[in-house]
Amino acid sequence: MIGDIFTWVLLDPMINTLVVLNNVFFSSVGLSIIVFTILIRIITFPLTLRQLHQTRAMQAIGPNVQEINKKYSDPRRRQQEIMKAYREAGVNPLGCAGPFALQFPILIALFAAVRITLPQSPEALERLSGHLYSWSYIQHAIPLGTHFLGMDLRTPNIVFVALVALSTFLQTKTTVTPTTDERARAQQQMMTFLMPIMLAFFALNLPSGVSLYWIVSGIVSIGSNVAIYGVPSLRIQPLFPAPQPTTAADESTPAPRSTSSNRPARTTHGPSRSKRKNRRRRS
Amino acid sequence: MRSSAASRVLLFLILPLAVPLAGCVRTASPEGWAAPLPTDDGSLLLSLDKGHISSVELSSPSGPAAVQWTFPNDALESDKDLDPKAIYPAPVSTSSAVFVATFAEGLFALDPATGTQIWHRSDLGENIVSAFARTPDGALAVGTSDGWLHLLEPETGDAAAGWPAHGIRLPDGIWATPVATPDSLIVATMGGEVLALDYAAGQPLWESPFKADGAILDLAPLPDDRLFVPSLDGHVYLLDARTGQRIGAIETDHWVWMQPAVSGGKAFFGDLRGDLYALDITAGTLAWHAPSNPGDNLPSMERLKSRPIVTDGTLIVADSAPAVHFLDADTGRRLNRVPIDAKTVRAPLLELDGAALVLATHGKLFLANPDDLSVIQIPFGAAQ
Repeated sequence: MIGDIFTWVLLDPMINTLVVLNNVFFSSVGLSIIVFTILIRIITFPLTLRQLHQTRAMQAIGPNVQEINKKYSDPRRRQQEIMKAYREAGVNPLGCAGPFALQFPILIALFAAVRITLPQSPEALERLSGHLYSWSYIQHAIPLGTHFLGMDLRTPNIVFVALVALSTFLQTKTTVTPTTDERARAQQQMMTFLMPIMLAFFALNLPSGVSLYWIVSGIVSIGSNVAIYGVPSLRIQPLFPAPQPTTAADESTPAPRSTSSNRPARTTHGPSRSKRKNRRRRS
Repeated sequence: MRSSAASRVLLFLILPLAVPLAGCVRTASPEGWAAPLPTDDGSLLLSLDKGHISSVELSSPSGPAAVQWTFPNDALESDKDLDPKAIYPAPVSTSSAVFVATFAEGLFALDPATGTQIWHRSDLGENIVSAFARTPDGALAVGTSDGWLHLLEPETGDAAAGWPAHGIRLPDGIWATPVATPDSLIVATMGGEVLALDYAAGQPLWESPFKADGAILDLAPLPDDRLFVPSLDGHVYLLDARTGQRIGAIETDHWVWMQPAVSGGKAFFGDLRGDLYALDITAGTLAWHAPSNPGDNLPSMERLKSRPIVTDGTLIVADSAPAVHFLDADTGRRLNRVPIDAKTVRAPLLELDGAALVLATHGKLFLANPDDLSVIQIPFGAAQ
């Protein structure tokens, strides 16, 4: 049942769109994959933007959360305080998972669409027939050409494997944000190298058409990361800067806090109490 | 920090997970659909396992069956590194050799008694789908998915006299079985062309090739010098095999990817939606059309890839469900449907003593009897 919905709502429209794009773009399935990937990434950009902003906001209040972890030994109280900190900063802990969960089926369908549209066997072509709409414009295009830039998109290709690794490395590099936390930094460092290796390994066993999708998707991701985060080392400013986390107390005045600061955001008496009130209480 | 780390793990682990998950989306690997072939010595050549061909002896039409030899045979030094992946065209059998065209390893000539290699050509082109046939004078015609067409001597596997040693390159891939008439070799391409070439040097014989709007996956000869040409443009064309001129065409609801059964001046075939058609060969018009769900209280017919047979006025077809359907060949009315315990059926049916031999994928054999509209499974005995 879920499989049928997935096929009907996502997979079949994607396969047919790929075929239409193939017809439009000079019967080149490679160009069709490139254009299709860019289109999908543009359509899902609001979700990506929200996800990246949420990730950045989570990172920004990381020091506060660290402080709370140190301060409270009771797990229940610690959890309450952390949740309070999130609420006050306007961050939803599941905020980056939500948009990603929405994108995940799209991603899977896209991979599957590329694989099905490039049949590797007569049986696969027979299976493709079940996914195609009966419009003659689509039916007449089958089977699609299988080569792009002299490479067979149905089989793994070492050039594409290398490009997958490179684009993933750059994608991870541009996603990584400055942090003072040693553990987080080590984790980021590991991801920067582990991810390209993992994906290159997968690409070695997948059709080049899927790798082409991954490369284009990676390039688009690098572009959106630069647009959202900028590249501080190259003094490139973000085009879509993440909104600064705000609290209930300073809603009227924009947050002055640095996102990478280790300084606790509020006094130990609670975030909603002003410094003056705290001083009064101590005296 | 904990939640931040969790979301980071989610982001970085699920993303690459998408790749192998997508890999798990079912994409069909080559399995083959070689038609069963009876040989002169009374045995059958069957592809019981993908990429393998076996010589099988049936003690009676309903079995049991005994395997005499299988090729490739991993126990043989000459075969152990072979990976043919699948066999699509029916083998060709002569008294001196069995010729097997494989998807990924090229063409083999085998000893009919033992299944050992006589000669092997692995340099013919990319893949061989169904493009393999024997010409009236015994030469072997082979087409490949990257468009190479060869005519080979059966004794040695070398190019036939007059043909280029490396074959003739057509603009598109050749998947359909060539039709070998006494005067010409007729081939169809994935670009939608049908052309006739002479045997002497592969020169075109028709004034111009026939051109359809969609790829041509199959091709079959019909009586009275006619050709059955199903195209992905949603038509089945009827051509004059001597001139390539179009005689008629009928529109189909889905792809037709099979050769027809011919009986009583009609060609019977099905499409990948499960509809059945009867084409009047003389008039080039539709005699009847049975939709996949004719509303007869029996479950619908599913994808039809396997060539049907007609025996004693009964049309027998096997669908992808898989199930065997018995129909009245005159009207298309369904008489019975018998589901069978197998993965699917794609191989053409074979008429055997008035019944239909059904070879399912993974090597299960069934016999469909039109007399009592029943189907039985043929058991396999011990290998000899």
